Amino acid sequence: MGALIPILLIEIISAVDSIGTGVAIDRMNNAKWHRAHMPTISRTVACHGIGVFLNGLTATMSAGTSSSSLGLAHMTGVAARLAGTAAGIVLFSLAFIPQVASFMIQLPQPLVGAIIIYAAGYMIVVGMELILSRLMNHRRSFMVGLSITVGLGILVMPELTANAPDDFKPILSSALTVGVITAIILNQIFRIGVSQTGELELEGIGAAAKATRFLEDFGSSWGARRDVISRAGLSVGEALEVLNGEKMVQGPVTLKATFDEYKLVVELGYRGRGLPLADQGKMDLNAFFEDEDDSDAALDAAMATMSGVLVKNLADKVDSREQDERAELRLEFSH
Amino acid sequence: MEAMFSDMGGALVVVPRGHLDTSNASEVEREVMARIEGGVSRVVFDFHRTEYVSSAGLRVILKAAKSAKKSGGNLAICQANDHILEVLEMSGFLSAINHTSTLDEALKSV
Repeated sequence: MGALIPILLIEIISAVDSIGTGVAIDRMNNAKWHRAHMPTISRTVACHGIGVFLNGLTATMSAGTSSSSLGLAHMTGVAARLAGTAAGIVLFSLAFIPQVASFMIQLPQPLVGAIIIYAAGYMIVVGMELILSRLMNHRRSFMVGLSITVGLGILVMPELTANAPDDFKPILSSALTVGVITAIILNQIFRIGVSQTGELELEGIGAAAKATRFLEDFGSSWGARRDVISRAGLSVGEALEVLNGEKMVQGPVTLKATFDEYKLVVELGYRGRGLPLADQGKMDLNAFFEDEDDSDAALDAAMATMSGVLVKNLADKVDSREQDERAELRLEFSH
Repeated sequence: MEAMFSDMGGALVVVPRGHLDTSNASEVEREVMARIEGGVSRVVFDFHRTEYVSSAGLRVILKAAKSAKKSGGNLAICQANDHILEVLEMSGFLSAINHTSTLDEALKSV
């Protein structure tokens, strides 16, 4: 019974490693990857658990996912389920031929080293891409930097954990686990005081630029995706330009932004007329160029619906309402 | 003004800084149209220092393109970032206005 806790801790560390591998393979296979797909991660951890259970039944060393195989899959471009299943069957069969295992152990160290160096390089790049796909601010930079430093500190100076209680040594001597735990704790601490909703009052010249800066600042606090915040900034800026330019607004515009992991909603509330959002396709520029009329009126007529087209296309859902001299433009962006 | 104007081999190169929207569109339009009326017929909008273009900016490009074509020349756009390209694509501009990845290519195309 006394051995259960250390083994459990070691397996939790191994499960964390599996989660990292699952996220990386999911990202490799999905060009439109936005965030960890929890059903995939759940299946990865479940498979890991079943494997460990079978290891226990057969009294063998517990197995885990292989990060270096991930690098190999990336290098070869082979990540198909069928290839994985076939490789699994081959490896399972080879387990019954000890001579093969002996051969594998005798692989030259430079060959093993080359595979590990490539896999490590790949994992570092994937990790950096994952981190930087979200907007950063001082808090988030500190969270990432400190977690990596703490993890590396354990690797470089293992004596740091020499005096730790024996029960905690398996966890505290693992750079991966200590780094992950540090990141999780700091992430929770730094969320304190960060509101999921932000409001700003906008008026006059520079409203569009002010709204864009506001969305970027709040996007950084939320750790929102860079491209989503950029699109929101463009869409809101365009809407404010047309609302102010066409004198559709009386007084200030209240911008309210609400964020959760799956969507960003920006609401513009103001006194005045609602923004028209007629269904309009792309402009026929060739017809415009062929038209003899080169007056500003002809140009304005050609551009009349352009703002509505841009606002509508930049956001994933748009709703424009008007009631009792109050109007509201609601822009929703998938995240 | 938040835009630079330069003459490169007889072509006018416009480099808006930061953005091309209502805050600077009328000034850019005035300068570009004055140069076209002064005899320039080849115009390039170089967006390598531009973060975004609004509909007010698109209006300037459209007006300049029509005037340049009328004068026997042409207008091209170069080095636009992904967001500007997206705006140009969804507005239909890319179907009639050439976009290149370098200034040299843009100058050759006008």
